[in-house]
Amino acid sequence: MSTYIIKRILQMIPLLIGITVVSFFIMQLAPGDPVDLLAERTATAEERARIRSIYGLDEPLYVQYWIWLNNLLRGDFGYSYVRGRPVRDMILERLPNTVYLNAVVAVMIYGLAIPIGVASALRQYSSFDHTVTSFAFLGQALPNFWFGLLLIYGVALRIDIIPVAGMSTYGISLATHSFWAVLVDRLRYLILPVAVMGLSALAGITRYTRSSMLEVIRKDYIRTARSKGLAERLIIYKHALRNALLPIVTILGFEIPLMFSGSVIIENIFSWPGLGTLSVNAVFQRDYMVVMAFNVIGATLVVIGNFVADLLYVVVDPRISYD
Amino acid sequence: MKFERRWSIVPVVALLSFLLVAGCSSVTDPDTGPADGVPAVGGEMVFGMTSEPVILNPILSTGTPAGFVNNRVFASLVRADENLQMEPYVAEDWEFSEDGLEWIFQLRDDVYFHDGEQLTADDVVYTYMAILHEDYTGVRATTYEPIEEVVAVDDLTVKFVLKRPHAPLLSDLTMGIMPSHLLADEPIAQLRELDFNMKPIGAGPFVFEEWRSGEYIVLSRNPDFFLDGPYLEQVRIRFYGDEQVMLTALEAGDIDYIGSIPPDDIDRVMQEYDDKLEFFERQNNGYSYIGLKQTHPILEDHRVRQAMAYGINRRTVVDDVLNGYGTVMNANVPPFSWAYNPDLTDYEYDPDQAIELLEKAGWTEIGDDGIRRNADGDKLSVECVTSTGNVIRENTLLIAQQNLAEIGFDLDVQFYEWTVLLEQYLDAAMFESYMLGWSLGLDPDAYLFFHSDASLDEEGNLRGFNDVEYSNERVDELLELGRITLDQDEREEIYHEIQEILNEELPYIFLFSQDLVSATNRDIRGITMSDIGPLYMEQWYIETAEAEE
Repeated sequence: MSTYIIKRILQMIPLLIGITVVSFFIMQLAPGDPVDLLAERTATAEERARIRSIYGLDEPLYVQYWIWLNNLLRGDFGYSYVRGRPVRDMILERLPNTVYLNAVVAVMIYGLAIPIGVASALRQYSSFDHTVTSFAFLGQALPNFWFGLLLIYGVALRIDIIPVAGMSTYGISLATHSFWAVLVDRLRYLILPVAVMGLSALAGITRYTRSSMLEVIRKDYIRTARSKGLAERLIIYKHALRNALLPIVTILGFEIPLMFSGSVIIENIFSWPGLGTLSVNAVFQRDYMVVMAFNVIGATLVVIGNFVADLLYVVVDPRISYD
Repeated sequence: MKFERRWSIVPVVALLSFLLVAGCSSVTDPDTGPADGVPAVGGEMVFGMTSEPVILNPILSTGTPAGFVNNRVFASLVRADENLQMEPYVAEDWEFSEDGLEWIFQLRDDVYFHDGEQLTADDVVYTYMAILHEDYTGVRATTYEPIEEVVAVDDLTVKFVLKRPHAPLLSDLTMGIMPSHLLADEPIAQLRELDFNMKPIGAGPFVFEEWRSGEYIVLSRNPDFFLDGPYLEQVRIRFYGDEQVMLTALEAGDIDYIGSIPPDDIDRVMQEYDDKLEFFERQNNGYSYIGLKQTHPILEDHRVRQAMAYGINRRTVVDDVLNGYGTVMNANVPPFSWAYNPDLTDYEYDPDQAIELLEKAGWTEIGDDGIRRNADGDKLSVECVTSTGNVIRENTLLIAQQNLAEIGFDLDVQFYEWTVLLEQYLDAAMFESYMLGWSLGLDPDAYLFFHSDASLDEEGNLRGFNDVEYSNERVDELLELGRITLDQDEREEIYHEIQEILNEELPYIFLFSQDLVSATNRDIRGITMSDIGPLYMEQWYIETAEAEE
């Protein structure tokens, strides 16, 4: 197993280098130039050249890449051309907000979707199953921005305790209020975004769990278990569920990069100060350093997510081993 | 009641041009003002905005949100009133030398930065000399290019030495004055990376407190402000990702002010919330237009350009696209400016007149496709480029295209992504026509837009914004004269004549200026609103705060 892990990690190195190459050079292909952001439209060639040299943009591309890569390896993503701030700081101040929202949503989704999926598989074609299926399709079909606005108008504007947008009430913090007051305040702001994100994600995972469970309970070994008189509970939760969760684990692997990516639409609508808006604004503002940082981090997390999923297989499926 | 007008305005350079936000102080007119009570200190006012400042440093900031905050935190030499005239602020008096080359400003002796240090001539020198420094990486170098140097004569006297007389400069001396005692040791090339830009210190009516990226900026009252006020104990600016959601937040009472209600919601909100909110309709200091390449074989004939002006129903555009919240423009100066000329041809929609002009210009035959042709068989077809993703522009061009098709004029509309539009069409000045908008500065100077020197140089590089390559000797002469004339009455005449010529010759089809409707909580009193935005904010106060006194 440890040999496998080491091998996999070694394999990741060229992949990660490839990611930095693509992330860097793809930005050079985009129309526009960081200097356009800084200089006036009427700036002369000399003025532009001066700005280029201040920011080291007059160096050959491979030199710029090398400097950038070196800084990257030290955890330094450079300075934003637009804001003049370290990109790392810009990301770190938004990261907790995104992880916080996504973690709550993930706990809710997996906490609900797996039991619902199992229950609806066990009662296939029952009215419960039909209801779940209908909600699942509804959740998939409702566009997030529309559903979000609908909730804001229909719920937040009418029910006082549910706020329109934001993450917390200004002035309510642990410094001035009790822990419970702060907790209640933060929860109020979570209700709508979690509802919108939850409904659409819940739908997918419920369906995956259901179909995977349906497949498993028809397997021979489940019939065998039943025939030797095992309790139904034991059959479902010990024998069937563990096998049915295998495909869900794969999804969980993909969930890791999503955890850090933030949803632009949700963040915009609920004015949630997360990474999604930061990355999209960076694209619109041609804030190269920020965009490159997001590309590198995003791609790296996908690689890591896949790796983690592979390792999780071993945990859930004793037949798989990587020796 | 005594009327005292004081003003602040910081020019903010937007991507294309100058965009201004104004802040002001005054005891206001009796009808909107505090006639009902004496202003009292206290309370918090919350402003809603849909975009966030990028950097809070007056000489590097661009965009309206940063301008809004900088105007509150920083004070400037002069500030503008609602007719765009300059008034004393940190400078209590100024004079121009006979030849207009030396401007001497006398500073107030009671202005202090928020850290307690006194504001002196050195700070003014630092602020403007930083922009003129060769390592400066912002967008304002051109604005201050006419300045040779800025010198401190004594602690409270500062002298601007100019390369040539330049009247528009006065309205650019609205730049927030920066504290040189905190910044002078930093290299100019690294100005953009300073922590200062995240927690600025100025001498304005409000003190910067906190900035939570994506959430809010908090300012507090500056008790040592050198003018009367401020009264609001705290000002918080909340950021929303979506303007509809921000509007809902206003309806829910989470915020006290929004600068512009989305046009489709104006009528409903005004009806439903009349008891809670006060509405102000104002013009935007800018306008939308279709720029026409003056050297284009079809468009070089000014009868064709006039036919376009008569042939596009700009009234319908304002009524339908802007729901009536707009003003038709006939030249380049907005009606609220002191330089506005009210006596211009208004090109009321008149397809017959348009057809007559086209026929006079030789476009007499109509082909099977309904498009006119001249004697050589050329089609009356012009390409018009614009950027994607702007509904107002899309709808305006749709109406223009239909209107023009009716008179046999084919307007071939093409949409491009912003950077592509800039790189391939506008910066290269390679287009037949294009639709965009300008945000204007405080001064009516339009040299960069219409002077032939602001057009292309021998190598084909754009020297200003005259990408339509307009060239008129009289306009050149007047634009130059307008810059060196310091007397405002004389300047008014000059700009009136410029507007007349532009209105006649139409380098652009001037379309409209969009009106904005802002809403403010009725509890906030002492408000002054103008066409350039909310003013005199240090005089704003909360009515209920009186009770607490």
